[in-house]
Amino acid sequence: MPLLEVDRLVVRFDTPDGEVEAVNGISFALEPSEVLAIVGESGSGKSQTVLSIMGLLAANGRCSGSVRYRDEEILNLPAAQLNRYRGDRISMIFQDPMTSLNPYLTVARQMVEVLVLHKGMSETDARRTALEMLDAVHIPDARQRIDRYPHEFSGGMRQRVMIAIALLCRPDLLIADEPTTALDVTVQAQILELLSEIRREFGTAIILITHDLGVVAGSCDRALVMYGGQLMEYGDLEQIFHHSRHPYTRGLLRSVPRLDQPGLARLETIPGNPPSLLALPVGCPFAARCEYQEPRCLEQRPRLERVGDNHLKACHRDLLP
Amino acid sequence: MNDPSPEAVLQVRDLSVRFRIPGESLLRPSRLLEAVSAVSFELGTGETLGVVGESGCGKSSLARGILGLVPVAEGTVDLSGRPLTGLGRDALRQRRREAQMIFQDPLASLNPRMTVGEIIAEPLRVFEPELDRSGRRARVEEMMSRVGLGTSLINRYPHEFSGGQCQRIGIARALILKPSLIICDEPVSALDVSIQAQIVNLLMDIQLDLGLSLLFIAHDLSVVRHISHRIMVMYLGRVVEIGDSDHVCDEPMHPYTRALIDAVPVPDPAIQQGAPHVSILGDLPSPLDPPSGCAFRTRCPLADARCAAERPALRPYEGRMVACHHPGVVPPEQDGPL
Repeated sequence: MPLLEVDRLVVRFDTPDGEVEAVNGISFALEPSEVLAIVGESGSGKSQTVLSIMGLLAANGRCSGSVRYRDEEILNLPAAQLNRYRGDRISMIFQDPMTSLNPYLTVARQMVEVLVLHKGMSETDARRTALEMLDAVHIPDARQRIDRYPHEFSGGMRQRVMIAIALLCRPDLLIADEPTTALDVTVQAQILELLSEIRREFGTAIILITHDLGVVAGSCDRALVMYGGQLMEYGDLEQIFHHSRHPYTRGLLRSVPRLDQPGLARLETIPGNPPSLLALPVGCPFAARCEYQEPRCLEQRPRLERVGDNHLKACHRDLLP
Repeated sequence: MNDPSPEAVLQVRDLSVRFRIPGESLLRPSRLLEAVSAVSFELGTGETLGVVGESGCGKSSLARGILGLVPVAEGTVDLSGRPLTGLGRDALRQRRREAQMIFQDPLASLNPRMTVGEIIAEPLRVFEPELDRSGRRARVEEMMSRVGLGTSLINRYPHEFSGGQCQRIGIARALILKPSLIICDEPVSALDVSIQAQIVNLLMDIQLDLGLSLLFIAHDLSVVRHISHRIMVMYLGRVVEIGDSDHVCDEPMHPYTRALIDAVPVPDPAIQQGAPHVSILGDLPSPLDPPSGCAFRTRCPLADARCAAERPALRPYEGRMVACHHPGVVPPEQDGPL
């Protein structure tokens, strides 16, 4: 049984400018201790997908479809019931740890609170567990630092504190939304290493949202590529990076400059701009920018189809692997 | 791409930029933060020099120091053989047309109450007031087509454009006075991957066409390698390595350059999985209290007593310049806790 099963998830927002179609029927399954990347550009719907799983959509957002955690439906649960899962079985970290940590409370207070609330621990036990977790994420001098405030930590250390808080209840699933985007590349490498250590040691499954294909290549088992709120392709890293069947995935991979290749040549580009979510095209959202476009791409949204073992694509054309 | 001519457009000698930081309380003395320390380099006609380093390494202060946007504490900057430092306000203003800047956040750097046409034309109003309305409009339209913006968009406002288009507007504004130097401060880091490639190509095309010199500042080493002829690596305000892009990226000689390169993930699982990623530990030390000797020694796997005692000078080594007491030494692979 998969740990998490998402089926035909749809997310809509009512705005003064009209209805925003943020996520349009995403389906995927996640096995225990698997690391799944959700890749896409801004506006592709990758963050809204996980926010709706966590019941954290903005007030004007609505979602439908199904999200099952260990075979129990958790989509649109009332907050009181959802809190049995979130923060406990499923937790989440964000791009900017400073906006998720409470600046008025010491790290100790913020960590103890979680354990007292979810696990009913005593303050003393909770503090001991919190210290163990800070050690596990390699915060030096945790015994002293636990009584400091978030602003006294560097960006990388703050992200470690966030990860420690997220792991306190030993969740089965950690959702990380662009956890390294705000960090320098040397610190990013340390945090990515920490995430793979966590998976190894605690067996935590991870959904890693990123726009950086290098991060995907280094840290994940499978990848889900999104564009215009839709799933374009889903597969393991070999399938996505070396045998992609979708023009968008291929275009994305070709347009990234690589540090291991000499430069000064023109980059291959994807022409044009992403579609507006206020007025998505009738057909494939990528059609307007696609070099393989044909008439039906503009008229019909491509269905998700199986092209190999655990390899899905949504494209009318049959690109050879 | 053509080989750049060796004739230097920009000469920076021993440039230092310092900021006075208020003390921790009213009763404590203010402190001096040296953001850029004695940086020297030259930039040739039609050449791109990439500047990389972590946040806080002084790369943006360097750009601002060169353009006189922050006071220069020491050193000189020459543009096209004439000094840019030590000028009065008006004289500096007159020379600014020769050197323009492109910023990271394209929307924030455009006045929301001006149309695209007005934004691109503004430098012309200031520096070429003799130009009449139709002459100005012709120049603006020519520039808009040059950067891939339809001239029909001339009366639109910045908020009507995507990030990539806003960056094109910023580039058009920077180019309209035909400067000899463009300083790009993180010009593509706020853009999506597919748009980033469009802007990188545009900058490269324009450079070829106009023979521009580019100082390209970015934290993304992959983009910097792609666009630059030479790369300058900075750490805590100082240059640690500068040389030909391919040399620096394929065979880094400074342990910091090596660590930066090792930390950049390559989008290919065959290479990336199992590769050592973490090559240096910890964060950048505070620039208010830099380590003695070599500033990098607190994170360097090769550091020894000499590194703490004596600051390494930037010296020629293996066809580039390196500031290290142990250039070219490959550190033993690290394991254990991060």
